[in-house]
Parts: sequence; structure tokens; C-alpha cells
Amino acid sequence: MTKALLLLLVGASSTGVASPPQVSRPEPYEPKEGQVNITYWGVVTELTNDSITIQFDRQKDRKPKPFRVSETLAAGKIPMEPRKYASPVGPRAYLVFPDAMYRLTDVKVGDWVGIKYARVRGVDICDHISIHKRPGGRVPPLPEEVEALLKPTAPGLLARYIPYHEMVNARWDLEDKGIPYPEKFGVNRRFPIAPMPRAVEPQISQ
Amino acid sequence: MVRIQGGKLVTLGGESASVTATIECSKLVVTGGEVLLGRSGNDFSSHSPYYFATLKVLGFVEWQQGTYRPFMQTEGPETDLWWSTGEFKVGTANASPTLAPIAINYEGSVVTPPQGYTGMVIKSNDVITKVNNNAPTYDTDVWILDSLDNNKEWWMRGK
Repeated sequence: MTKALLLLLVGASSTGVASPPQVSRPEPYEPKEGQVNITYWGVVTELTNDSITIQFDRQKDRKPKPFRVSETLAAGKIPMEPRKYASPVGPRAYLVFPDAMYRLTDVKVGDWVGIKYARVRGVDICDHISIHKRPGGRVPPLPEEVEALLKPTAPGLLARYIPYHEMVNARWDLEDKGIPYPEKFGVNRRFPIAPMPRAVEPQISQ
Repeated sequence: MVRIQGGKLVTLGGESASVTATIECSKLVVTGGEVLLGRSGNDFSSHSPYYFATLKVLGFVEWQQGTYRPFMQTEGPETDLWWSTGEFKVGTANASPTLAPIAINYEGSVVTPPQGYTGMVIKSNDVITKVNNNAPTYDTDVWILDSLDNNKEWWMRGK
């Protein structure tokens, strides 16, 4: 299904409209009936065998939202397949990202997660789960067959491949504890950023 | 490492299915030029209204300058997508690239995105990082840029 056609053409370049960006507090998207692959994220506040409850964006003033989980997730399976949706050219399927192929059993209360859900006959069903952070712990590895989807084929790159969970754990080690990325990240290593120098106000003693 | 300094980085669109083009590298650095996905081989300004494209980078991305022009289907969930399996870094300390989405309908006409319409155009498995707060530039009369999912997804929303 995957078809790689890539062209690199040297020639003209152009630029677009230049404007300042806007940043606002995230609000959850309100889907329409039948929509699929809707993004929702936050901290897991409750887990059962067939549901997951998430506090959106870790906004403490927001009531956690419960989701039923798909049959695949409830069965403890890996959610590799997308939910189909209707389009003018027939049933279609969206791309499922490998980092959203955790099993429900991989998730713990307190995890920071991102999910993809669908609204089916008025019910919001969680189809895919990505674990972003496990405060006080480590993000677990993806299932082996999922990790394989992320690995490069070139032997030189494969030898330096960094699994998903090592990458995200390195991010939080840096952001929370100031620990630089391990050396194996090579040119992609990140380091703590020193604060910008500040002007020192002269102190006048009398 | 792969470096694009100018010109056009183009992936061709499918005639009967959405397609994914993959670049394997430790890092893709784009310092200029255009990123065009899912285009017709005969005319790089042309794009199917039904089938969209993903540029999957198995590696890290630094998009320092240049212009990314994703097509977005305003009547459905399909969009072009630039996806990095590592960190996706945008801009430099003193430069910003440009995000120039093209909204279309199922007739293939370019349209103004309806208010509230939204679609994902950049995804990182790790994190999307702005090197400076001015990155990227885009038409703020038409679009709002939403950073979702703990800064792992950028969605463009009709204003």
C-alpha cells in the first residue's frame, strides 16, 4: 500500500505570508457524529477493562472525560488497524501512527497520554493510545511488532536506531531533571539550555 | 544527514489511494525551498481532492526556513502530513519558515477554510519544538495554528 515516490528538484523557491503566530489555551475539539481519528490528550485518571478516563490537557479545572475503549483495546490486543470512515470515493482508512499502538494493559493511571477516538452513535470510543510520559516512572516500550514499524532499513541507521520509549524518556529526563540526552543520540542530542544573560541593575549605596 | 537548501522537495500523489513517501536519515535539515506533498507528476501545483500524502521521515527534522504547502480537504478529514519519528524542530534563532496550507473541497477548488475546520499538517513522535516563538509564519487572517497532544501534533484551524 505504501508507495514511495520522491522527487528532489533544484530550482526556484518562494516564501509565503509572514505573520506572527497565535498561542492559546487548548480546548477539546467537539466532533460531529461519525467522525474518526479525533485527538484528545491529558492525564489518565481512571482505567477499567473497557474504559479510560482522561483529564484534558492536564487542566486541573476540567472534569475528566470517560471514553469507552474499542473491542481491540478491550481484548488486550494491539490497535494497529484504523477505524473506517465514509468518503465520496468509498470507505477510507486513516494512518495509524505506531506511537499510538499501545495496548490498554500498557497504560497506568497517572500516565500522560494522547488518544485517537471516534464518535459512533453518540458514544466516544477510544481507538488508539500513545503514552507520552509516566511521571515518577518510565514510559514502557511499544509492543515489539510495533517498534519494527519505526525502524529504518539502512544498516547504518538501524545500528543507531533509538526506540520510541528511550526517546520520550530522554525528553523528560532533560525537561524535568536537566539530564542531557545520552550520547547515542549523536547529532540529535539535546542539552539543557542556559538562561539568557540579564542586565544587572547598578546598586547605588548611599 | 540530508540537507535541502532550495528548490522543491516534492512527493507524487496516488491516483487511487493516499500514499506515503519515506526518507530515512539521521536528520533532515531544510534551510530553504518548498515542501510539496501529493502533487501531480505533470504539474506540481496540482493535487487530487481525494488522495493525500504523507512524508514520513524516519529520523529527526529541522525545518529552518522555506515554505511547506500542505493541501487540506475541508469537507473531509484528509490532509497532507509531514511526519518525523524524532524531534521536529521549527525555525532558527532569527529565522522562521512559512506554513502555507491550501484548503480545497471535493470539487478540487481552492476555498477559504470554514470557521472551525481543522486538520493535522505536522506530526512528531517526540515533540515539535519552536526554536523561536515567531516560528512558523502563516496567514493569520485565515488560519489558527493549534499545537495539540503535548506538542506532538500541529493542526491548522479555519478562523
